[in-house]
Amino acid sequence: MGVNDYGIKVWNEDGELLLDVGDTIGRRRYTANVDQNADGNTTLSDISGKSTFQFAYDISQGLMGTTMGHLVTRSGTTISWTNRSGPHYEDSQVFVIIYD
Amino acid sequence: MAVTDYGIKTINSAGQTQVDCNYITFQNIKTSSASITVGSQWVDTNLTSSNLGVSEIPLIGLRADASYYNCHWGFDSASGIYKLFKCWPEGSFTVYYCVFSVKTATDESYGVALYDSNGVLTFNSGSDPFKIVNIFSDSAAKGDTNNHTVSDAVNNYFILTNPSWEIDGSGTFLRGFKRTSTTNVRVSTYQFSVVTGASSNWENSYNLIEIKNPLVF
Repeated sequence: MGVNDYGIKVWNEDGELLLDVGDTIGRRRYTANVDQNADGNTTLSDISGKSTFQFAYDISQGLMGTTMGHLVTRSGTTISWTNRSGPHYEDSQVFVIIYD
Repeated sequence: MAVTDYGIKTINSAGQTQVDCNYITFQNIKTSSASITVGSQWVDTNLTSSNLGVSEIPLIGLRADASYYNCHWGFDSASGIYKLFKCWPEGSFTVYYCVFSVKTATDESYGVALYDSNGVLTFNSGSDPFKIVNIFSDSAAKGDTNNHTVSDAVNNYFILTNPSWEIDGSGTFLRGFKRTSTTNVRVSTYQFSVVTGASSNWENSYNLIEIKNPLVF
């Protein structure tokens, strides 16, 4: 079966192609607001064999300095977040984006 | 009924799920630009709670500048919504950015809308979804340079994860990205300022995510 007869296409009301059969789409699998002093992890059994990327944003309040969010890693189906090793770290929003 | 046996899903030509009734799709809610100058600073997207949502933290993609390195570190939560994001530009230029968030309601009567088993909107054809073109997983210690061959270094947007900095007595050094050609994005270290002392918050690993330039309606 060729690509052209596979999948689905979605156009918007202006006739622009919004979703094509070759597109890879990022969806929200997991988010968490984590405290600056807390390391943690969660198990997401449904991401087994699936592709994700994960990261954290610093969500400090009004700080312009060199603060930063947690380091987020994946091992199997476990997502872990840890404070960065340096002197300035902050509350974070952890994202796990699934694209598979 | 389990979520997995509810609704419909679309599969791309590589066999990957694109949109379904399980997970909420990030969709474009704004593309814009702002003038920024060297240093750490906030960029105001001017989004409001009505289009961003009070508790939603969006994804920000930045275009790669041709002259200066830049990186995105996070958001200011002081205003109650996450409309301000922080950059560390190497120089003064116009930064082009796009914002993706989850949408709670479809904004048109045309096309496709998918909902999960709780009635939460997971995708609609009212705005462009978050399209991943490439993901580069790499490592760069301070001073290292990596070149990544991308699909479109001019028009596409990028997320560089794991921002890093180090003060070594001769200056403050950051990791950022810029474009060196229409198909190359360079991740490297740039000097921000001269600061005495020594401290470090550097993480070698990073992901550079290339996001397709969204349709703007």
